[in-house]
Amino acid sequence: MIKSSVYLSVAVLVTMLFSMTGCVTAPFVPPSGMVFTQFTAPLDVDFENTDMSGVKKGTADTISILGLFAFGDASSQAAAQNGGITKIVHADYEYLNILFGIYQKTTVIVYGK
Amino acid sequence: MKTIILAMLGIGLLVFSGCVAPKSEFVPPGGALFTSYKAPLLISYDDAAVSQHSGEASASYFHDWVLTGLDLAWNDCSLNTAVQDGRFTRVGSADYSFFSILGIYAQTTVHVYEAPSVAVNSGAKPVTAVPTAGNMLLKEQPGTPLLKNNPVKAQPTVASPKAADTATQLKKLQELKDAGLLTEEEYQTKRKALVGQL
Repeated sequence: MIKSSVYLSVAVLVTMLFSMTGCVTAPFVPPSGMVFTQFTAPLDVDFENTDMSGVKKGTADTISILGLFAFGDASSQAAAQNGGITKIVHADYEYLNILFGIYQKTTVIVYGK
Repeated sequence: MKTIILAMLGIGLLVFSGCVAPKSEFVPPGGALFTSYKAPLLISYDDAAVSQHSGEASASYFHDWVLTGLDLAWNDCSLNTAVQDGRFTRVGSADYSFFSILGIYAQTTVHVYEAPSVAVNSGAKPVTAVPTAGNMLLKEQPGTPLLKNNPVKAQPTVASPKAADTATQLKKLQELKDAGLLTEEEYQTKRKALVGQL
């Protein structure tokens, strides 16, 4: 009886943990792999009048480890500062996932002037 | 039996309880034990200005996992409060930050950045009429506090295009269609609108 209650507690805990973790959410997400994923996709999907000529590039990222700890600054402001950009014309993002989310890295890439 | 009921109750509370993770167009992966990240909130960039001058507003969340299983959320992370905090009226772009410990306490903060003032109808370049982060104008109405009880109104500055500008825009439209960035339907709609302005 004690053993079964321990199993159930673990099951509840695991469900709880998985309910709070997950993959990246974005307007456009290509198919991902459980074992390994690395892709770059558009973050800003409004391409109307987007002028990419002579743009500079800046990046900023967040990291999630084991689905337990997540930290970082992937804001558009941080990315723009890293690229010396004051006006953003477009943004993409890069997503890296290794072994079922043991290590996940999300990078925001902004382009601007 | 008692354990099973308790376990089901726990899962039920999880399923039907509030949402710890923020809902946004762009959400990086979080952590079950600890999360602290900052990510873009407005992702429709069209010359969106990112300045150092910013304002912020936060909302909090608390989940009592032990005694009641219930959760509470309170406070104000509205755009109105954020721009009031920054003491400016034009928003250039916005990010949000999310902080959570064990899903027990979470805080979501909206960060807005001031847009530089724009000369209206300066003549050189027509500004797009699409309300985006880059041209969102927050205007205080007489007798009412900024945006209070009002939806955010994007008031883009629109320059009336002249014939030469229209020709340039038609060429650009054609280029976009050729590049596969516009569908035939979108192209025709925009083309008709531009031709109608001649």
